[in-house]
Amino acid sequence: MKTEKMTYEKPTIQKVEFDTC
Amino acid sequence: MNKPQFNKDFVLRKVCGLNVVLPTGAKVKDFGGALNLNDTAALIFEQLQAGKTVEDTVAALVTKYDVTPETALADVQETIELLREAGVIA
Repeated sequence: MKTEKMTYEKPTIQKVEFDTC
Repeated sequence: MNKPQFNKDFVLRKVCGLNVVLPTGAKVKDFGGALNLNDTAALIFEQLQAGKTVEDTVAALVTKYDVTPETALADVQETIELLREAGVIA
């Protein structure tokens, strides 16, 4: 049985700066 | 065997459907924020933090996603560099 593979998305990393959870 | 050394002061958490890497302990004030990872980057993070090699991580990506080993390897290496710049990998 062939397993359907997920669509590939290029890995991304976004920095979120926090200060005032 | 190619295993990046992770800083143990960072943890990956799922928050409202987002993959968020957070600093813990004294790192909180130094780091001043968090990292948002998409699902692909989160899989790479999980694999490497669990002690898997780069090769294992590439294999995991190829198994789960429609991607060639060459592209997966390049993206894993790029992700490692981004995590290194952020201080998550030593």
